[in-house]
Amino acid sequence: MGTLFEIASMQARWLSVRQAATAENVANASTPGFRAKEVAAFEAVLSRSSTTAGSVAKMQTDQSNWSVRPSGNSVSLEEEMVKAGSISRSYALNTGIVSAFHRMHLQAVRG
Amino acid sequence: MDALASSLTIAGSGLQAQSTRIRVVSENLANAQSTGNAPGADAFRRKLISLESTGENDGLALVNVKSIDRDMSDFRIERDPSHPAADANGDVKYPNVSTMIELADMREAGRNYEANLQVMRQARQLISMTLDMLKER
Repeated sequence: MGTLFEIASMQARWLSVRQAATAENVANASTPGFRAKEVAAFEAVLSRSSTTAGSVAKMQTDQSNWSVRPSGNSVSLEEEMVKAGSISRSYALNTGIVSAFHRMHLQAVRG
Repeated sequence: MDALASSLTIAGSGLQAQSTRIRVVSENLANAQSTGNAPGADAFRRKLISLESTGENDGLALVNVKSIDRDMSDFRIERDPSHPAADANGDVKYPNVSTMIELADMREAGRNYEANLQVMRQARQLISMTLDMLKER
């Protein structure tokens, strides 16, 4: 039970860093020379041995850019919207699972 | 700072930058016909805004207005000897503002503003989803 909550909170933290990366990309969508940012995949984060708070997610420059414009900006608003949708869905699933397990936990304690 | 709270800050900086951009566009459009007063005087020069992102390496890549410069391209010349700003040849300098370009720029700024608003709305939604876990069911 403990590990499930641990993994869930790790994913929630990862998703919120991903949301911050999306926010940075959208805010800088018209800044010359700005390269889009992305966080490492969650699988890569999970397989890491150390699961300390700082190492959960780190932003890096996105390599798989959809396009680079002549101004040197590689943000694609469409891509960011797609990403934002998937973040929202995963986050809803995450909080849903946590509250369901919490409810089950409480039920088990109550007997 | 919490990543979700910082996305609100980042989206806020985007909103501010884009609204400044819209302000500059409106200044250009409002002054699209502003000539000088004295004969041969310069007309209104189009304003150009440039954005930059802060904190490239670590921390938040907020966006802010780097500078608002003047477009130094040539004025539009029209012949109108009766105009107060006409020079010895009867030519009047009109602002180097192109309405089409300004409107396109305004449309783009508006779209970017919308995208930032959407990010802000979503960050708020994620925060409230987290808080909802506290609710008794």
